[in-house]
Amino acid sequence: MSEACNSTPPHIQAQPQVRAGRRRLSLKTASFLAMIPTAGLVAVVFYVFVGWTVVISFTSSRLLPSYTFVGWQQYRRLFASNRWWTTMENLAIYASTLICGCMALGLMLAVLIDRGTRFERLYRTSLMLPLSMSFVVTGIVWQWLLNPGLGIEHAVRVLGWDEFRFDWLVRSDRSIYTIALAGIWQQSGMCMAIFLAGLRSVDGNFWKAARVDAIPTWRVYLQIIFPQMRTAFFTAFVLMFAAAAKSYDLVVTLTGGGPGFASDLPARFVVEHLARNELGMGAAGACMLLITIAAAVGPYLYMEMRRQKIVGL
Amino acid sequence: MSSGINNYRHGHKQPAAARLPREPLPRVKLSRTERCFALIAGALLSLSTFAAAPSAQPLEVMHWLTSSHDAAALAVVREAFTSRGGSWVESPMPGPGGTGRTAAVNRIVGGLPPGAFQFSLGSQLVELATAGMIAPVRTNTQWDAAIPASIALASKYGGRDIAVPMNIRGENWMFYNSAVLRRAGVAVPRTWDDFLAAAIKLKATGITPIALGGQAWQERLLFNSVLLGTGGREFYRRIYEQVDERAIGSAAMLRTYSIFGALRQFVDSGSPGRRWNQTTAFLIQGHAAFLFMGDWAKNEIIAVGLEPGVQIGCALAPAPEPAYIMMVDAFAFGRLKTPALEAAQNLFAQTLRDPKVQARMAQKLGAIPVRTDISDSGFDICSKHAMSIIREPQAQLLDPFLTLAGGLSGALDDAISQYWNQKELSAEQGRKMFLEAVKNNR
Amino acid sequence: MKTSAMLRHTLLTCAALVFIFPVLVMISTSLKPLAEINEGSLFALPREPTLEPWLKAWGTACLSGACRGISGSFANSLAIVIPSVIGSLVVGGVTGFAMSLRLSRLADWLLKAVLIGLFIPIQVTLFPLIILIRELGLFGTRTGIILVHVLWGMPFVCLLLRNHFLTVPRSLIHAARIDGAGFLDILRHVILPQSLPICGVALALQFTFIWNEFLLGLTFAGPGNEPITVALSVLTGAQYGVQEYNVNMAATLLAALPTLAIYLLYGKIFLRGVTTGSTND
Repeated sequence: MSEACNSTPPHIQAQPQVRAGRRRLSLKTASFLAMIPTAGLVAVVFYVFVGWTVVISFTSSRLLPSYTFVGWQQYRRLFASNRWWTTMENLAIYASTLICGCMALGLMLAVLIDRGTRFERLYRTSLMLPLSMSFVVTGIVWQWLLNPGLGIEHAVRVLGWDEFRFDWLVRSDRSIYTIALAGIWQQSGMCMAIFLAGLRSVDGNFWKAARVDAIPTWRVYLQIIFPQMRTAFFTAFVLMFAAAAKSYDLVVTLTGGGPGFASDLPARFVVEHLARNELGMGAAGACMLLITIAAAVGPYLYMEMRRQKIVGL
Repeated sequence: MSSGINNYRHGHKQPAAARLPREPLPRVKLSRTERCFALIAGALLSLSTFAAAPSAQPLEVMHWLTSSHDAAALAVVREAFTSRGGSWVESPMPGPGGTGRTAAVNRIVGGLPPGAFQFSLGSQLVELATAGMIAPVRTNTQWDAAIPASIALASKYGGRDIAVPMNIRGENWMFYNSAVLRRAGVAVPRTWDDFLAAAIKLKATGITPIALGGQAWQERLLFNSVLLGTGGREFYRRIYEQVDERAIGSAAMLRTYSIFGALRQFVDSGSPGRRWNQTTAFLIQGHAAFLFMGDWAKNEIIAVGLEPGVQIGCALAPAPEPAYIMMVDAFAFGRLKTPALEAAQNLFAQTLRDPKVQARMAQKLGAIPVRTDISDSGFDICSKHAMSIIREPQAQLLDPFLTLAGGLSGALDDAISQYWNQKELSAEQGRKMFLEAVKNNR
Repeated sequence: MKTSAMLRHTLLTCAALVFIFPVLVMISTSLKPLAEINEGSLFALPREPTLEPWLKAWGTACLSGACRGISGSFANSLAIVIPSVIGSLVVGGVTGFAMSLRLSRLADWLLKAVLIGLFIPIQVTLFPLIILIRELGLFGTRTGIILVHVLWGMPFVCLLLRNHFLTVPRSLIHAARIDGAGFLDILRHVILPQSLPICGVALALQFTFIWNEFLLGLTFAGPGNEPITVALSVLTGAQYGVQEYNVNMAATLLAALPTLAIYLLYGKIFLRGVTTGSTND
């Protein structure tokens, strides 16, 4: 990024064309100019603002921004907050459950479909249906389904199984898993799609060779096909992690963070604290969230950018 | 929204002349004389519009009084306001309390301040005033003398009034289903020890002793009632006004937490996340015996055709001395640089302070008026009781939201809620979390 | 091999049913009268199906003071989404093309910046964004929320289109250049005709993303402009009166209908959009 800052802007070269008689900008200049507005907006919205948030996290801002520098105090308060640690713990649980669940389910479904089925279109459509829905819709539906008195628990009891319990939604120790459940329902389809594309991009010759050598199917998958799908696995992991970390709508509509704050997540913690007169602490939380995402996603991005450079795309 | 609002999008940057309504002139060729006349006529017209501005420019009123009872209360104010020559346009907020306050703050910080907006007295309002975003209204000494001193103080900043309190909401009420208590042979408890005994008896007969909705603010309401009931009025003040750490470390606090912890077993399994209106319905339907809720629950009782104080009884939560934990809804005013609208704001304040408006509004809301010099005729029996209690200054206690900084209030909510929901925590641990929250957020 | 095929199909069918089940429950609940919901079970089909909850959700349900249902916010969402999608497509198209030409180092810088920007959560930039929109005088207006959506949709559309534009043969561009075409001419006459499918992908995905978006709509759309996700959340979170689950479900379905329709009609587009850039090609 520092390259762009140090490079000198290209000279504007007017190249008069014989046909038009008008001065034309070189393609290089035109494309440069075309990118300036976007580059400016991206720089401001995504970088200056993040920088501003970092600065605010070192001030005593409450309802409105103030620029009284207080050092690490907001971070100390953040780390002394029970609620913050609960949200981070929840993020770990949620992210790992979501990622494992989505990827396992998505992989299994992708393999099943890839083996060949006449109804592929039908299966794909129904499995990816939840992706078209908003997190708000998902939260409302699953809150309804998991409602102990009126949802699945009650319905199963009506069917005769009196002792059936499924009140995870209202249990402090289990409510975070309900969010994971709703998340897996919504996003497995995406993992499935990514893996399906990955499976299909593997050279068909491998299968032929495996058949010749009489290797059992499961071994072919495990030792030959899956290693080739590294990019797909990485992509799925990164997208799922980013989605988990940004999760706000789902928490608000499914559990409201409850019971208490047992199912709260960092994204909601930040917004809550912005609303609670705690701009400084909210900013500190936001920075920690950003660092968490960067830690997980950073290596992937770095590799992706190097790959693009090497491949010369 | 009226076009008047759109004029203020860049309001604070435009000169006064630009804010007058501009009509596109018709494309007609005028002679010099005609043009002269047109100019004079135009100037006279705009002058008269300017002079008539107070009734032409409506005041934008943001509020969360959207349920049927609340809307009736707002109608009382609207009638009184328009009969005094004012006109307003309403902007309902997406929700009450915190949601509504956030909406108002967004509007103010976003550069589009509403003329009048409903808000809660407390540190958020003070911070807005510190930043110069609140328009003060004219002080009325008669009003200041007629209302509880702590509320008068809370509505001032720098000696000027930054808000007009609308009504007092009491939070330490204990509603009970009379029929259920009668059936179980339980009397209305006067102390927390009595309450625990009664609750055990009720639970044995299969009734849920306490109807509670598992949301942080409802848990806090219950906690504050227990705190007042165990430690008394002075203790409450030491905790929530002075935030005295020694008081937090005292035996009275430990006792508060033990009793609060003991109440966990008396709540039904449907409690977590349940909204207060559904929780009130739970009590009314006879599934539960007691409900610790603010006086807004009376509206739900009235909505099903019952009378508060009769089938559903109201008593203050068990306490050694009479006290009323007050939550104050108020209207504050955004900075609009038109003299005409500032006049409208002061008119609005004047309307709210009128004893007749106060009385009728409070009756519709199920609250009590802020003024203590109003007769209690026309109020229900619960309100009558409350109005007599707050006449004694010692009994006037404030909800922590009014006395604590926003961050601390929220952190205490978190601590209380965590203790309530994690049943394995001991009273000692609960008290420690409270103390940590205080130390961390001073 | 037959048994393995049968097993596969059974598993897939079970999975598909489990995935569709919540939607079926939504539909079934939305058609039941309230009495049936309170007394019956989730699994039971409606005994006396009625469209009344749908009519109520659309036209008469009460939320934040008005009793006009969610039809108003449905219209708001349309009024917000359509310009936002067009805006982000135009900006993304021009920028994506410029980035794909790779004629200056800004192109690479912007690529990295945009790629990183995809992962930044909204919360980190929420408050400064409020201040920016305020300074532009657009806070609480429809233009403001549209602008915010265009800003936030930029990284995704830029990347999507850029990756596609890279596949256009350079020779075509050189040929057009020799004929005297300028930057915009090349974009319009050479690139665009080849890119209609990917534009469709961008359109469908952006529509879905913006229609389903909640936090930005909650913060930036003013009173009267709120999108349907916000109205839905207010309706189902109502603190007053009885919870009408059937009306809530009907409202939820109404909110989900447009994106569901796009998905069902253009399902392949979703597949393409999701998988672009995720494989070794």
